[in-house]
Amino acid sequence: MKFQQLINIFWSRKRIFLSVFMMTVITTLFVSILLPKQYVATTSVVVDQRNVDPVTGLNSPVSQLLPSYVATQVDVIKSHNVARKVLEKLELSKLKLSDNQQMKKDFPQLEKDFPDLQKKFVKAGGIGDIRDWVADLLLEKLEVKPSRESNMIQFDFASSDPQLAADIANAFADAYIQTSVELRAQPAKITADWFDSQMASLREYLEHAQSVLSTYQQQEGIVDGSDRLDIEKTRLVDLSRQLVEIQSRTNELKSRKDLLASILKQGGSFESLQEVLDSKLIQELKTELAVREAHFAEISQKFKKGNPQYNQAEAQVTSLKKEIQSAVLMVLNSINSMVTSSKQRDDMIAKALAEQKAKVLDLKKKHDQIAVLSREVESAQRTYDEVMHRAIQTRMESELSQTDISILNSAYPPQKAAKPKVLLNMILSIFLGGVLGVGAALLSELMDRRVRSAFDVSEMLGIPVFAVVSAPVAKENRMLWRFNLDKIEQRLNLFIRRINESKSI
Amino acid sequence: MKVKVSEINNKCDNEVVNTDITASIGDLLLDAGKISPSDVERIIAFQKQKGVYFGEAAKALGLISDDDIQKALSNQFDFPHLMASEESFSSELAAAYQPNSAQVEALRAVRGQLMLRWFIDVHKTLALISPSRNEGRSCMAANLAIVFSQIGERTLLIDADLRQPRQHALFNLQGGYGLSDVLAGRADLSIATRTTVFRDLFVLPAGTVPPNPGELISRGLKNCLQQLQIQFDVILIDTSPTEQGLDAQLIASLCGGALLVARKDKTKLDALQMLKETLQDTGIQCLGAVLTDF
Repeated sequence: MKFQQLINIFWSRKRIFLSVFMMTVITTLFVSILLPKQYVATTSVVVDQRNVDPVTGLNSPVSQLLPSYVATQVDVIKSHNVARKVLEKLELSKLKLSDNQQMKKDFPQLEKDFPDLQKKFVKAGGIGDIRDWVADLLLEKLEVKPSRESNMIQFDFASSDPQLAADIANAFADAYIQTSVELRAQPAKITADWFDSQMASLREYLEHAQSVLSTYQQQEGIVDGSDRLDIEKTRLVDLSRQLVEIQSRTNELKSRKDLLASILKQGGSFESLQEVLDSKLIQELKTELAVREAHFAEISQKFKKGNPQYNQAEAQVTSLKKEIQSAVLMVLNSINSMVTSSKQRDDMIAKALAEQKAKVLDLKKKHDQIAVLSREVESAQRTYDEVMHRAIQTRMESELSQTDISILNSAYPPQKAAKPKVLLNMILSIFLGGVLGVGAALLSELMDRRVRSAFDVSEMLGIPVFAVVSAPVAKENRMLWRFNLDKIEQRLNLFIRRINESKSI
Repeated sequence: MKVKVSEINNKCDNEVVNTDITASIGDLLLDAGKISPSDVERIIAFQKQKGVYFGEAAKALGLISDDDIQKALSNQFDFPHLMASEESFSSELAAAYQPNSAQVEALRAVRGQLMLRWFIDVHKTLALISPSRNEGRSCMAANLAIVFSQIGERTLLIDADLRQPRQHALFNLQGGYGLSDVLAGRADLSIATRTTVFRDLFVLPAGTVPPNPGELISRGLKNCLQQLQIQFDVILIDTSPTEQGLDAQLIASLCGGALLVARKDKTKLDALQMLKETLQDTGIQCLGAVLTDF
C-alpha cells in the first residue's frame, strides 16, 4: 500500500469520511449543548504536619510522610461513612421511603440533581435504607484530587445548582474532618477501655501480693528490715568467739590436769606446779614453814627430842606441813573443779552456739521469703503504675477532638458552569471524528476495493496501463494530486514574481 | 469541406476528399467565406507593417476568431477536427473537438502503445472490454478510433454492444441498419459509414437492438471480421459489458486480444481481476488497461 494509494483512497472516500466526521462533531456539539449544566464547587483541606502528639507532647513518627497516607485520606473521604454524615449535615437524615411526589416536595434540593429519586430507588431494587443509596449517589458526584507534591486535598462536587454544590462540598469537608477525628479517637477509646479492664485485675493482684506480705510479716513477727538479723548475726559471732576461747582454756586446763595426774602417778611433788607456786596461801604457809623450820632447827640444836619446846616446834612444823599438803590438795582439787566447770561451760556455749546458728538460719530464710514477697509487690506496683499512666494518656487521646486536618478554602457557589466543557468536547470530537472517519473510509474501501490509480491495476492484474484518460474539461476535483501541486506551484511562482515586481517598483 | 453522405456510402476503396494541402491560410479563410478579398488587402498591409503571420494580423484586425484560424490551420496540416460550435457529433468525442487537450494526448499515448504492441503484424482487430456499464468503454472506443484515423490508418469502429448500443448516438448516425442486421443477413457490410469529418474513419453501428444478441454474435461475426480485415487496417470493436453476457469474451476471442477499460474510482478491482483471469484462461491476450476518469 503506497502513500499515493492511501491518498487516493481518502480522496475518493472523502464523503464517508466527512459524513462520519461531521456526524461525530455535530452529535457531540448537540449533546454538549443539551446536557444539563453542572456547577462544580471546590473545597480544599490541608493535612497539617504537626509531628507532636498533642497528648503526650512527644514527637510522634511522621505518618504523613508515608506514601500511603494521602491515598488513605482519599479513601476515607470517598467512604460511605462520610457520605452518611454529609446527609446528616444537609438535614436529609429524615429521608425515608415514601411517596415520589411527597419526596419531591420535601427535598426540593435533591430533585434537581436526582430527579424521581424515589422511583429510581424502587427500580434499583429498593432494598435497604434509601439514605445509604442517596449517600452513594452523592459519592458518585464527588471528585477527590490529592495534590501530588503537597499535603492538600481538593474536593470537587458537581451539581446542577451552584449553591447546593457549594453546600455539599463544604459538608463533605466537615464530615471528613469529623470522621478523621473519630478514626483517631476510636482506637484510643478502645485501648483506654482495655486498659481500664486491665487496671482492675492489676490492682487486685497488687493488693493480694501486699496482703500476703503483711500476713507473713505478722505471722513471723518480723517488722521490717534486717536489724534483727544483724543482731542475731553478731551474737552468733560472739558466741563462736567465746566458744573458741573457752575451748582453748578447757584444753589448757585439761592438759594441766593431765600433767597433775601424771605427777600424781609418779609421786612427784607438786611444788613446782604453777598453781601451787601462784597460791598465796601456800606461799605464806611455806614462808611460815620456813620460819618454823628455822625455828625448829634452832630448837633441835638447843633441845633434844622430847623437850617440850622441841616437841612444840616439831608439832608446829608438822602441822604446817600438813596444812601445806592440804593446801596443795586444795589447789589440785580446785584445778579439777575448774576443769569440770570449764568443760560444762564449753558444752553450754557450744549448745548456745548451735541454737543461735539455727535461729539465724531460720531468720535468714524468713527474710528471703519476705524479700521475694516484697519484690512481687514492687513489680505489681510498677506494672500498675505504668498501666495507669498509659490508661490516662489513652483516655485523654480518646477524648481529643482535634485533628491535623484543617480547611483551607471553603467552597463558594461557582459563577460559571464547569460542565459540559463544550470547547474541550469539540476538540475531542474532532479527533475522534477524524479517527472514526479514517476508519470508516478504510473499512469501506476494504469491503469494496475500486480502481483508484494506474498503479492498482498494474499491481493487481500484472498488465500494463497505457494511460489514464481524464476529463476533457479539467474538473479540478477529479484531477490527480500531481496536477493540483503543479497548479499550486504555478500560483506560488506568480505570487513571488508579483512581489518581486512590486519591490522593483 | 462538406462531403455528401451519398458519396461516402459507396465502397470506400480509394476515394479521397480533395484537400489542397498547399493552400495558404488566406485562401482557406477566403474559401470558407470568413474574409472578403478586400479584407485580405488590409490584412496584408497590416502584416507588412507589423511583421506578423497572416492569421495573427487578421485576428488583430478583428476580422476572424481564434477558432477560424485553428480550423484553417488544421485543414492546412490535414488534421481534421471539429470546433465546439459545430455540434454534429456528441461532445464526448474529445478527439474530435479538443485535439490538444490532455485527454487526447493520453489517447494518442494509448494509440502509440497499441501500434507497437498489437497492430504491428497480422493483428487488425481489437476488442474493448470492461466489466460493467458506464465505464467509458464506448467513448474510449470512439475516441481511439478517431485518433487512429488521424494518422491515416483506415479505421473501422464496430459497435458490437447489441444490448445498449451507443456509437450511433456518439457519431450522430440516425436510424438505419447496423451490425445486428448484417449478422441476421438483412444487410451487407457496405453499410459501414464513413464519418463526415474524418476521412479514414468508418463506423458500423449496432443497428436494430435484437432479442438474442449472444446468438447473433456467435453466429456470423467471425465471417464478417474476416471480410472486413481485408479492407481496414485497424478494427476497433465496442462490446457489451462482460457482466451482461458472454458476447464480449466471444468477440475478444475472435480478435485474439482485448483492451481492458476501467473507470477510475468506480470499477471494482475484484471484477477487473476476474475478467482478466477469465480472458487469459480462454487464451485471449490482455494487452493492457486504460483508465477513464471523466
